[in-house]
Parts: sequence; C-alpha cells; structure tokens
Amino acid sequence: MNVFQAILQRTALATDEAELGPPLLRVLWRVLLSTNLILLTESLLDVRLANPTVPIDAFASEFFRIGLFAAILAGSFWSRGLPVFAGAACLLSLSELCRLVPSGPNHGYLGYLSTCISSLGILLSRNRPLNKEDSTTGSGDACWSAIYAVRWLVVYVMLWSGLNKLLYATYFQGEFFASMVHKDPRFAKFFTWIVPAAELQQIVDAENGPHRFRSLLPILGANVVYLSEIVAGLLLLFRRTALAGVLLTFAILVGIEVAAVELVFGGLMVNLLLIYFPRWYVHRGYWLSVAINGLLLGYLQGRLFDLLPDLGIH
Amino acid sequence: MSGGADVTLETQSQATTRERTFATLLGVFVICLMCWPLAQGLLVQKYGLNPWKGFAIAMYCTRHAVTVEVLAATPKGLIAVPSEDLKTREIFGLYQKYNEQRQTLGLLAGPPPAELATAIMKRYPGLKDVLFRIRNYRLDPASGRMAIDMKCVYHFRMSGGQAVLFDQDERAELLGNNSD
Repeated sequence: MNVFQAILQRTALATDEAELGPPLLRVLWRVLLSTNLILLTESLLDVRLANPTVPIDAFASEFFRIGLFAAILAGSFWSRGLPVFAGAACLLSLSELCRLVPSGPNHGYLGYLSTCISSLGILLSRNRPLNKEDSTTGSGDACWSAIYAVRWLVVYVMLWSGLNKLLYATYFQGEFFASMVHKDPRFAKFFTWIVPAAELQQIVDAENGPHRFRSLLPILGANVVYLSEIVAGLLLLFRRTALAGVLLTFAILVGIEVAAVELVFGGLMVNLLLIYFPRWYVHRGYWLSVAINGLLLGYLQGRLFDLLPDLGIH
Repeated sequence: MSGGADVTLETQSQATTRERTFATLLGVFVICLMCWPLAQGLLVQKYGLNPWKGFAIAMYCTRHAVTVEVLAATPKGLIAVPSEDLKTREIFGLYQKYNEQRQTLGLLAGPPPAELATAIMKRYPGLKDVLFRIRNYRLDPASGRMAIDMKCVYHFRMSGGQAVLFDQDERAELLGNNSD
C-alpha cells in the first residue's frame, strides 16, 4: 500500500465488511443520482424566481438534463446496464461540475463530485465478481475506495468549515453572526433565544456596526461553532472516534438547519453521513435517504410549477 | 471476513492494478482537495474572489460585497450615472453580467468590457470619459464593520466611436487600512 492509498483508507471503519462494499456503493450511487435531480431542480428554481416573466418552457435544456439524470436513476436498477449508466452518470456529473464553476453553490460541487466518484467506483468494479451467482456485484476494492473518498468529502466539509472560520477570525466575538443578525431577519429571529432583547435591537439598528456581541452566551456559542466543526472533522478520521464524529456532525447539521434552513445541503450531508453505518444503510437505512430526497424533490418541483408556497427553504 | 483490516488485506492480495491505481488517484485527489481552501484563501486575499464560492467551504465565514459604480467625467467633475440609466436594454445585460463576474472573481474578472463603456457613452452624447469605480468590502474582524478590502478604478475614453481602456488603478489587500 502506498502513501496515497493509506491516506485514502484513513476514513475506513472497523465495521466496513468487504462484502458490503458493492451493495453500499450502489445504494449510495442511486441516492446521489436522486440528489442530482434535487440540485438541478434547485438551480432551475433559482433561475425561474430571478426571471418570473420567462415562461417555463424556455428552460428546455434544464429539463432535458433533469430527464437524463432521471433516466440514469431508473436504469441503475438494471444490473447488466450498470457500466453504461455509471459512465453516463460520471460524464454528466462532470459536465454539471463544469457548469458550476465559478459561481455555483458549494453543495452542488459536493453532490456532483460524490456522484462522479461513486460512478467511477461502480464502473471500475464491474468485471470483478464477488461470487459466481452475481457477476455484476463487483469486488469490494474499487467500491470501498470510492466510499472512502466520499467519506473524505464529509471530513473536508466539516474540517474546513471550522478552519475557515478560524482563519477569517470573524467568530471570536461573534462578529459574523452579529453582522448577519443586522442583515438577515432569519438570524435575528434565531438569536432572540440567546441574546438579550436590548443588545439584539442595538445590533439590528447599528447600520455601520460595529457588529459584535457583548453578552457571554452568544460569544460562547459562536466559538463553539467552529471548534465543534474542527473536532467533528478530526473525529471522523479515526476508527475509534468516527462514530462520535458522525453524531457530532449530525448535531451541527441540526444547528445549521435551525439557524440557516439550508435543507438541500443538510439533506445531502445526512445522506453522506449514513454511509458510516454500512450494514444498516444497505438493509434498511437507505429508506431514510429515499424519504429525505423524496420530500426535498417534491417540494422543489412543487415550487417550480407554483403548486406549493414558499417555505423559506434554501 | 469482518473489520476494516480485512478490507485492507484484500486490497493487497486481490486488487487489480486498475483498482490500486484508482485508490492511488483518489488519494492524490483527497490531498489536493484538502489543500484547495488554502489556495483559495490566498486568491481571496490577493484578487478579491468571493470566499463563499469555489468549493473552499468558507460559507458563513465572512461577509463579502462588491459595488460597481459608473462615473461620467463632465466639465463639472465626476458624476455618478443614475442606476435607472443603466437599466436600458442595451446597457443592463452587459452591466449585470460584468457585475456578477466581478462579485465572484474579483480582479480575475478583469476590467469592464469596452462594449459596456461604449454603450454608456453613446447614451450620453458628448461624453468623452467614463470611469468604473469598484469596491470590494469584507467583514473586518478588527473593527467589526464591513470595510474596504480592494478598490479599482477603470478609465475609458472614447476614441473613433469606440471606448478604449485609457487608465486603470487596482489596489488590493486594504482590509484594516481604513483606505478609501
């Protein structure tokens, strides 16, 4: 094993049984394909909301791309066609990644990169049967490599979320949150729980700042945010502590959803975290991903066709 | 077979060259990815890129704002072109596109396109010079205020019915200098 393979396997767990690799990767791949439908619908909805007068049939190319991913998702259940659909998913995700550069949302990169990696894992494992009965199962090696890489994406998101907050130095006295309280009523509403009313009003009214808290509780809270993200990222890197890292990441995601309502990002992250429980996810846990993605896709499609009201979901 | 160690052993004994190469390439990708936010941080500092963009996971780390002002050089001095005047069909598309590029890419977006300057000058017959004043703001942790991080001025002059870039001044890394 060379140093690069050793680094990749840093995210391996004691519960990663070899025979679970191929089914786990296939489940993850299908979940990610449905996530791509959400990402495309979300970007289409953003464009639509920015241009409300443009008729919906003007977005034919966007609907075509959604249709392609939907066709691949349907085809992913046909075992013999798996290599073709995996190759197509990889190429399509790469093209979507290129479209995102430079101004696309970060959860878009996360979703399409994960799809690319898992598609490659499926593609490379196609000729390596694990048993004679199922020639399409593939060996665990390429599958597990892909899964480790996707787990690294989770580590990347958590670790760098915290490190960036540290480097930009805008959390020590809650400067960032205070400026968001001033700018965004969602944040002001959230902080009514921990900031005294007079101080909160002062921050909301202060047009030119300074944006920072005086009370201990919000300052403490702001510092806990980046520290917990860094700790979660580090915990995910060690077999003995990975479970604690997963639980801490779940807790942080709940906090993000309460404060910022970033449900597409949150849904994607939860789906990626669930692969830390391979046996449970392959047998029953994937239904949770189906429910999450089904609800998100239903809501976004409902918004796209003006069938549902705006719930303030991002 | 159970346990992560078993997976590793199988990799050693049964994995094909193709699978080992895939694992190596993914390892290289992981290393590059983990270094990317550092590189993006330098680009943000030097070129004023939007820290929220580019998959460096710096969302909710700082605030970033860019203003693009259009100034007309008249005998009475520099006069800001009213934003309503920029909303004509000819000008607005070009202005909006450049504004978006500038918001994301900072200095890497380059100067405003000459076509935009030409369209503005044609809107005001007799105008010979038009300036674009661009300011990048970032949340300054030292003051707790949105402060100027970068400012640029691009001076276009009409020449033969076409605006050409006559002069430019780009100043970066101004955060905390109280410079405007």
